[in-house]
Parts: sequence; structure tokens; C-alpha cells
Amino acid sequence: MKMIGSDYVLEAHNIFHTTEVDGGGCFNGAGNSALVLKGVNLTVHSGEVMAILGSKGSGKRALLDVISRRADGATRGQVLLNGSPLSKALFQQRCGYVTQSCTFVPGLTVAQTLHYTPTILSGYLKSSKVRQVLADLALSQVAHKRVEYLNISEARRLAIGIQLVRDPVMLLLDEPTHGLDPLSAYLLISILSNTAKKTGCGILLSLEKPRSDVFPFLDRALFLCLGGVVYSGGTRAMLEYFHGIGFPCPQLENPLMYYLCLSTVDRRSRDRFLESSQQIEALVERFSRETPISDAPLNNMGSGKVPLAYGKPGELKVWVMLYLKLLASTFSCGLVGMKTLFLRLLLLPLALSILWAFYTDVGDDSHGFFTKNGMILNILGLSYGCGILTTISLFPIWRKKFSQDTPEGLYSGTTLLIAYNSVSIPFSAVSAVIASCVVYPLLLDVKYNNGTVFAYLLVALWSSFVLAEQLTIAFLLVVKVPFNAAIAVTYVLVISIALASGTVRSFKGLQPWLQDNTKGTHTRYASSLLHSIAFQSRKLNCTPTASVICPKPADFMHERLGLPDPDETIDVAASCAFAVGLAAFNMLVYLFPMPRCVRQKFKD
Amino acid sequence: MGQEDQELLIRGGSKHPSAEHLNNGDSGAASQSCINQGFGQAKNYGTLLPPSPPEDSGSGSGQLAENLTYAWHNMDIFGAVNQPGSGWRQLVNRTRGLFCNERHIPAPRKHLLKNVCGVAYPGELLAVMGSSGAGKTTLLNALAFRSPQGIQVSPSGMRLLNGQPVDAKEMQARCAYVQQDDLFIGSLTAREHLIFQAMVRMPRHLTYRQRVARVDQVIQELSLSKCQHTIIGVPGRVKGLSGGERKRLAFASEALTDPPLLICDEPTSGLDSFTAHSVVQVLKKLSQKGKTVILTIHQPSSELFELFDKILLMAEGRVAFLGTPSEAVDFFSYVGAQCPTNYNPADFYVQVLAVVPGREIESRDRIAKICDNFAISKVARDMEQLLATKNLEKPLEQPENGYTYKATWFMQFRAVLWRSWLSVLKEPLLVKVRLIQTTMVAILIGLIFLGQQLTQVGVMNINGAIFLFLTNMTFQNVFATINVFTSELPVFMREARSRLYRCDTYFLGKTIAELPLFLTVPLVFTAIAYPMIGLRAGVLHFFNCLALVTLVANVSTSFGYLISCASSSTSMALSVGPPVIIPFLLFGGFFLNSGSVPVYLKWLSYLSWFRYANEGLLINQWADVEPGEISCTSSNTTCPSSGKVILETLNFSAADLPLDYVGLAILIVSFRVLAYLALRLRARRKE
Repeated sequence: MKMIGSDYVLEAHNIFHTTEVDGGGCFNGAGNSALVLKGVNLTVHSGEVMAILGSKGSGKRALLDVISRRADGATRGQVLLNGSPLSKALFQQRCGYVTQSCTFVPGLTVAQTLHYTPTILSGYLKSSKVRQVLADLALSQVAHKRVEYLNISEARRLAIGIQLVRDPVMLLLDEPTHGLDPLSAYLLISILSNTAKKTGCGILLSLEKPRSDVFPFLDRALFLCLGGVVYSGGTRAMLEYFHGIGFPCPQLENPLMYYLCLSTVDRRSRDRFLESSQQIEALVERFSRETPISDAPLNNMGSGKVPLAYGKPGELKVWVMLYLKLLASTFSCGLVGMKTLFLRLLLLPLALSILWAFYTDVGDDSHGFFTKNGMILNILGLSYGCGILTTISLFPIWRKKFSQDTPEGLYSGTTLLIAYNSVSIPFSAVSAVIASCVVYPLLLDVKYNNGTVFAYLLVALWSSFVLAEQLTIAFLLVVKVPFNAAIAVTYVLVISIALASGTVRSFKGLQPWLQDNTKGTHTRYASSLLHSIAFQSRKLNCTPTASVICPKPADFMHERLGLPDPDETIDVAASCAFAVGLAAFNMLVYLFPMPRCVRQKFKD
Repeated sequence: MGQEDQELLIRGGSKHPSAEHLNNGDSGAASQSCINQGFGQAKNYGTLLPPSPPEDSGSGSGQLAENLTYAWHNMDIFGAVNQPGSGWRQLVNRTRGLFCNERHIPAPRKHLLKNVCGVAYPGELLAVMGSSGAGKTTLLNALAFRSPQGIQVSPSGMRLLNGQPVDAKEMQARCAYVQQDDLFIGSLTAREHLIFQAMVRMPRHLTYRQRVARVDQVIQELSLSKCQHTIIGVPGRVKGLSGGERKRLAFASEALTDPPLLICDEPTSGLDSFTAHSVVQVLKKLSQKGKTVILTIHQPSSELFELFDKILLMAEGRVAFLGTPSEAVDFFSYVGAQCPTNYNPADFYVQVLAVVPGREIESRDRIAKICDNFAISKVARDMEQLLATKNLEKPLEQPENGYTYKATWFMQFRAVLWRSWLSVLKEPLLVKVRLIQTTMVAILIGLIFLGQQLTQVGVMNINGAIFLFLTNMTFQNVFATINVFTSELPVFMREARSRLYRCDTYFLGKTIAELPLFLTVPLVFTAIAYPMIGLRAGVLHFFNCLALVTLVANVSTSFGYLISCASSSTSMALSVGPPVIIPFLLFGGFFLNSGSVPVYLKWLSYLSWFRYANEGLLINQWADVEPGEISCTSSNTTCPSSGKVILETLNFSAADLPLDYVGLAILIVSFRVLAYLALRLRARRKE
């Protein structure tokens, strides 16, 4: 009696695919089109391992992308799973795709990484599934090892495990042995072969330089050259086929490499190039004649064989997994956890405590007013800066995972941001409280405590931090390098500080249209709060003499902010509204599909 | 149909003639004779006879063609045990030793290479093969005298050139070492790169025309003619030479001096089969000219395998086999590991000599058996006899001076200056992006502070604008310098280690080549922003401002050099730079009134270029503003009545302007000297 799900068949019939060659960036015009797949046919059954072999540019990745329904561009032909067309949703639910990049959340262990993968299973069933996958992939000994300490062989196997834990019926792998040493490559292919036979999962993988020792593990092989099929079929029949057409494999030769060289254009000289191109065209033509193209009839196996689509994990479940992953990463023991906690809790207080070295014993004469003006500028700048630094240190890894998980359809950007902000905002609030305790004595006399003024200070610091954080998250949506995103956000905030804070340039002298525009910035309201705290919420201690001038707070603030007596309630509301509003805006923006140029940037 | 099949058959038949030769040639006869004679009898599985002397050994363009036989014997190499957390453990042990007065426990050592011996002859291409961790790179580094720190070669190890022991100095004069990862400056063309290498590598008595002729000759020999005018490029960022062309360019750099011994580490990694074949063919051609070529290779195809004259198989730090590929078939058949059908012999040998996880004991036993069999084979015994006799072949010519530079100081400086100048002109990150960025920022600041009047509000705004001048000049120049300088540092470190040029010639050449740019940027910035804001009218005031801004740009650049030379990577430099700049920013007089600086931090303000520049610019702006020029409302007590009052409020004095110029100039020189010392210290530590 066959196992449940052990008789699946993946078929690709007469696949033609045209893709756009990248024009070089987001702002270039539409690139050229290129036909990258020309009539590809393949079949993979349950428990089989099929290798796609070809050199660079032969179309291996394009074929995998077409089968997984991730390819951009026009596609002709059929991809069938048990006779039914394989749609994107069906692939996402029942199949898996392992790309070359191995990105894991730092701070988690191998077992945690597998356990926090969203699956249909839960509880004891999931735990036993995780244990089984660890054993199958020879990862049990490193189950409690942190992912940042894995070597490349272990990392590859963990990436495969993340797909296997979801129990796919077909698994696609893009050059899984790239960068591995020969022994690790052999180990990986043998593990994949054993896993395929044990779980009934069909495996389709691409290889660029196959070794002799992986030949016994491959059931089928497909040789591609510039999108054309030189051969597609069983590896045993491969030797007979090539022998029959006049290319027997020499005795001491690796058949996979020998026929791969036969399928590769020789670029060493022009004559060789032309000769090998003609030979490959003849081989492709020959194979297409040997194997007539046949369109398989739809549903030929009957409706009873259609694979059951039992759905995917719910959005709430995925959110819980993301949230737990974020918490586990934050509170993990080790360097990553310490770094995360430091950035989330202590960076802002420590940065603001630097002000103590410079701003103690500031008087209330004209010198003191200028110095306090600089202190307000510093508080704003440091709050923004800490928000930027924390975000570019912690968020990019999640952004990268989001771009890799999007083709799998596991969760949306809004879900990711809700989970991220659920962890981040409480931490930033605590951090702002500590920072407010640090800064409060510099601005006010601690002998006369005032809860309202403390709340104003807290709101100013927290909203500045969160605004910088959310603005950085917005830029990280389209900017890949975190440093460049930080530079861009810094420029935006520097302009905002220059125009709206009143510390570098007065409001009063602004053009009317600029004055109105600064009302649309967070900096104006946060700066107004800080000015109120510094100049109006306490009694001045100044005695005018012949050489000492005592400016009036109302006059000073009128010159700087255009208002002698700003309304703190409006400032508090506006500051919080800007921070929260930007967070909501991010959730909206992360929901939209990315343009091709942005997706291409995050692909590797 | 029939005709086409026949054509394919003929073409396929002619594809691998050497493979047919391997099938039908001597190995069959040898195998047959082996079967007939049976086991138990010592077999002649290898030969140490050198190949016939190359016919054109005497030719050359004035270069003395030297034939070197490199032999090594009794090589035992140890390294520190690499385990996670070893840094912490060493720290804990050191702390414990400090407090408890414990005896010094020697660090545990790992036996990397165990009594390794071998020989490479002129005219031979010797390939060192083995699985990962077999010791290939360790052996190659030891042979090239380039073992990293922590690796110890036992004193009993002998490295002989033509039968005489050699040291690092002699090896540097004769050996070319091509590393696995090639490092180039991506904005140069292949020809420009080779001309630079010729200027600093070739002996100093040669004329420029002779060097260029040699460059042309090498370009021809290594098949680089088609791409000599192509930009090298940066992988993944700037498109340039292909993988094979980069490899051949790396060989060309080393081949300029026509070294008799060439050592290559993984020359085919990252290339496809045909490109790898062409690269190894270049090495083959070099060896056929009489050179001695040793290379490590990871996963050769059968075609590549047939190109090797000799192979050296390593496993677990021991020698498993040394001989020709055909002899390897006999040897492994003798030890009971015959290569099966449809198997690449190179794959098979690596597989047999690998430690398979899960079957480690069995694998180690097999490896030990194979290595022991080779140790008692005729090849090993012949090799030991050869080394024991210490043949005095052709005596080595002593180099003129040990560790001398090939080029004079001035030649080095001129070459580095020329290359840096080309790099400055071609690198878009340096010129175009910088000028566009400068223009945009200048226009932006100009718009924000457009058309200031001398009013109460205008005075404060002008002070803010002046400070933005300095902030923008500083951060812009520091980051630009860090990005460009640190990206070139790996190239410098390798070239300095190869003793192509001195540290001071590099630093001077590079900084002087970049100087015109760091004079142009402040000019563009000031010319745009100064009139837009409405700063003090007058030609003298404008040029004073320009001079101060230019000095600030160069202080920032010098500071960027210092941060770059002291940091280990670009990201570290970018992380360290801003936190170090912020304290200097605070002493500029804008965030913190100069009169309010705490006493214990006063000394730090003298290191802040913000202080000098801000003071100078404000003096330039306000010193000659007469009473009455600033319009005030009488009810406002914070309105200054004249420029002098403004300066007094900020604790500045008009008489300090010359001191500001001097301070900035001193900071430029000091930061550059410190940067040079940091670079020199770093280069010395790496050797």
C-alpha cells in the first residue's frame, strides 16, 4: 500500500519563457526582452531527485522560477502537478523553494529557527516534525547552536529544513552546493536523496559543477544550454542516449561533467565558439526530434487524484510566530541579544547622558540662552540619531527576510510591521522614560518636581525616536544598504531641524510658504515642547548688571518660534500623531507589491 | 539523417583525443602487467626523473632564464587550535595567570602538516589536490614563506632550491605567488594596471620603453590583447573583465619579472570548465618555457586533470601520492582503490582521501593506509635519497640586496601618483557624485537661508547658516574619504606586503592625487551658497570665507584618512567616525557657548576644527559691522547693536582670526601625520 501523498507527479510541458534583461536600475527605461527558455519538458515523480545542469546563463534559475510561478515576463507552456495546472497559490501551499541566500534571524538557535516556521501543524506534532527534520538533515548535533555560528554547510541544510518542516510534495533548490567543498556537497546530495525516498518528496535542483560522486544519487538529469534542452530524462537512459547519437562517455570521465561540457558554449576563441554553438543547436534539435512534444491532457488521472489543498497557516498564527521570533531574538543569550537589548533600552539614555559633560551649570544670561538653544538642538539631533542607528542595526535583517518570504506568500508587510512595532514601541517607551530621567535635571530644577513637565519631555523624546525609526523603516523598503538609508533619513531630518526647530534658523524670518510647510513636520512641535520646558517652566535665576544681559523668555521664544507662549497640549498631540501616523503609513506602504527593480535589488 | 549522424560522430570522436589515449595507452599495459605479476612485489609506480630540458631555455629578451628545482622535506607545521570562544578563553587564562601566579601553560597546537616532502621540477606543472582541510593551502603558504601568524614551521623542515636551503629573502626574489582572491583597483584598465606593476616591479635600471615593451610581451603571452583597454571593474558593481581575464591579469602581474617559480592558490575557483581550462593552459604554457609551476586546485575536470604533469595528493596533512596522473591510477589500484567506470579520477582520489562524516574512523584508517603505502613506495624513497645527497646543481645567484625595493623612491611615488590620479578621474563615486552632491546641498542651504537681512532674527540665522557650512563640509568629506580609502586598503596591504612600494610613497601619492578634488568641492559650495544666503558683501570677505571652508574640507579629509587607516573595515570606519566627530562638533561654539565649556574639557576644544572655523567665519562676517547696520526694535534686549557685541556674546575676538588659520593648518598636518603613522603601523603588523 502506497503512502499518502507518495504518488505525485510534477510535469512541465513545452515551456517557453521571455524575461526582461535588467536595464541597470529603477530609472532606466524598459530593458530588452530575451527568450531564456525554449521548449523545456521535464517530469519528476515522488521520491525522485532531478538535476538541472548548465553553465551560467543557461536558464537554470529561470526554469525553477517558472515552475514556482515567481518569474516575471511572458511564459508559455504548462506546469502540472498531478495533471492539474500548478498555480502560484498551489505552489505556495504544497511545494517549497530553497534559494541560494541563507538568511536567518540572528540570536535564534537552529531548533528555534525551525520551530518558529509557520506550519499547519502545532503543538506536539510540530515538535516531533522539527525533531525529525533535524535528524534527517544531520542537524541534531547543532540544534542548540546559534545560527550566526553555523558554517556554510550547516546553513544550507537549515535553509532546506525550513522548507521540509512544512512537508512539501515538491522541493526546488537553486544550486544548493554552490560554495560548498566537495565533501559537504556530497553529504548534502546524499541527504537530499535519502529525504526524497523517505518522505516521498520530489526534488528538483540545479547544479553548475557536478562531481562524480553525486551521480548515483540523481534519478533524472536535464541539460540546458541557452534555454534549449540537450537532454531530459533518466540518468541511466542518459548514457544510452548519448552513446546512441555518437557521444559515448569515456571510461575515466564523469558523465555529468562530460555532457555538461558538451552543453556549454566554448568561449576560448571565436572558432571554438561558433563550432560549439552549432553542435549544441544540433543536439537540441536532435533531442526534440527524439522526444516528440506532447501536451498532456488535463485531469487525465481523474479528480480523485487532484492534490488536496489544505490551506496555509492563518494570518494570526503567522503573526504570533513572527512576534515570538522577535522576542526570542531580543532576549537571546549571547552577543546578539546583548546588542539588541542595548540598542533598544540603553542607547538613547547613554547618548543623552553625554550632555551632562557639557551643559551643567548653565546660567540664565544671554550666554546661557544661547547654550540652552544648542542643548535643545542636541536633544533633538541625538533622539533622531539614536532612532536611526537602532533601526538600521535591527530592522534590515527582517526586511531581507520579508523580501525572501514574500514569494512564499506567508505573510504581508503589514503583519511584519505590526509584529515588529509590537516589540519595538514598548522598548522605546521604556528607553524614553530612562532618557527623560537623565535629561530632566539639566533642564529643570530637581527641587521642584513637575509631573506635567516630565510628561512633556517624555513625549518629545519618545516621539522623536519613533519618528526617526519609522522614517528609516520607510526608506529601508526601497534602499538595500542600511547605511544609505541612514544617510537619506539623516538628510531629511537635518532639513527638518534646520527649517522647523527654530534652533538653527528662526521661524520669524522664514518665507510665509515655508512657515506654513513647517507646520507639517514633527520637529516643529517637539522643538516647541523642549523650548517650553527649557525657558518657560521654571523661574529664571539672573541678576542684570552692566555686563550681564537678562533676556526675557517670551521675547526669546518669539524670535525663535514665532510664538511667545506655545500651547503644550497641541504640541503633545501633534508630536504623537506624527510618530503614530508614520507607523500607519509604513504598514500601508509595505502592503503594496514592490516594483521589479526594488525586488531585484533585494534578491541576493 | 545518416549524413548528419556521421558528422556528429566524427566531431564527437575528435573531441577528447587525449581521453582515448588514456584509455588505450600505457596505463592498460601497466595494469595488465600488474595483474600478471601479482601483489607482494615492490612496484615502480613513479619516477623522479625530470622532463627533458626545454629547448628555448636560453632565449629571452635579455632576461636570464633560470631553472629551479624546488624540493621540500621533513615539513612539520603546527597551528593554534581554532575553537569558538578561544579569545575569551585566552583572556580568562591570562587573567587567572595574573592573579594566581600560575605557570604559563603553552597553548595547544594542532599538527597541520606531518612530515610532508615533495619536489617540483622546472618545466613541470604540479597540482596539489585534496579535500577541504587536507592542508593544501598550508603547504603552499609554507613553500612561499607566507604562512600567517600563528603558523609555525618546524626548524627541521627543509626547503631547497637547486639543492640549497632558501629563506624568505631569496624566495621573494625568485617566486611569484598568485593568491586565490585577486585584488585590483577597478577603475583602471588592464593595460594601465600592468604598466603600474611594471613601474614598481621591474629592476630600476630599465627604461620606460623597455618596461612598456615587456608589458606588451606579457599581454601577448597571456592572451590579454583583446581586453587590455577594458576597465577591470568591481565584481558585482562595475562590469569589467570576465573571470578568466581577471585570473590571467593576476598572472600577468606576476609574470612581468619573469620569475622562475610560480605558486598559485586555487587559480580556477569561480570559473566554468572552459575558462578554467584556458587559465590552466596559460600556466601549462608558462611551465613549458622552463618555469616551475605549483598550484592548488579544488575540483578539476578530467580535461584539466590531463594537463597536469604531476599531482600531489594530500590527506589529513600527509602526502598520499606524488607522481604523474597515469602513475596515480596504478598506485591506487595497488592499494585496492581502483577508479570505477564513468568516474572522474580527480573526483575519485579526493573522495577516497576524504574524511566522511559518520564514518570517520574507517576513513582515517583508509587514509593512513594509503599514506603509509606511499611512504614506502619507490617514489618516496627516491625522493629521500635525492634530498639526502644535497646535489649541488647550478649555484644560486645571490640577489643584490635583501628585501630591497625594485624601484627608487621617486619612481614609486610617481607611479602611485599616476595610478591614484587615474583612479580619481575615473571613479564616479569621487568626482561626479561629489560635485552633484555638493551643488545640491549648497542650493538647498541657500534656499533655506535665502536673502538674509541684518536684523535681530537675521543675525541668528546667519550664525546658524555658517555652522551648517561647517557641518556639511565635515561630514561630506569625511564619509567620501572613508568610502574610497578603505575600499582601496586591501590592494595596498597586499602590494605593500609584496614590497612593491613604500608606505610613505603610497600615502603621499594618494593624498596629493586627491587634493585637487578637495579644493574644488569647497569652491563650488561657497560660490553657490555664499551669495544666496546674503553673507557679508565684499570680495575680501568672500575669499576669507572660501579659504576657511577649504581648510575645513581638508581637515575633514585628513581626519577621514586617520579614521580609515585606524579602522579594520569600511563599516567600522563609518561607525567610529561620527561618534568621534560629535564631541568636536560640540566645541564649535554653536551648540555650546565657548565661555560655558567646563574646565576639565577645555583642552579638547583646541582639537576641534569646528571651533577655529566657526570663530574665523563669524569674525569674517561680523568684525566690521558698524553700529546702526543691524536694525533693532528698542524693546528687545537680546538684539545686538553691532558686530562687536555679537562676537562678545559668543566669546570670540576679532584679533583671533590669524590663530584660526594657524590652528586649522596645524590640524591638517597633524591628522595626516597620524594617519600615515597608523597606516605604517598597520602595514608593519601585517607582515
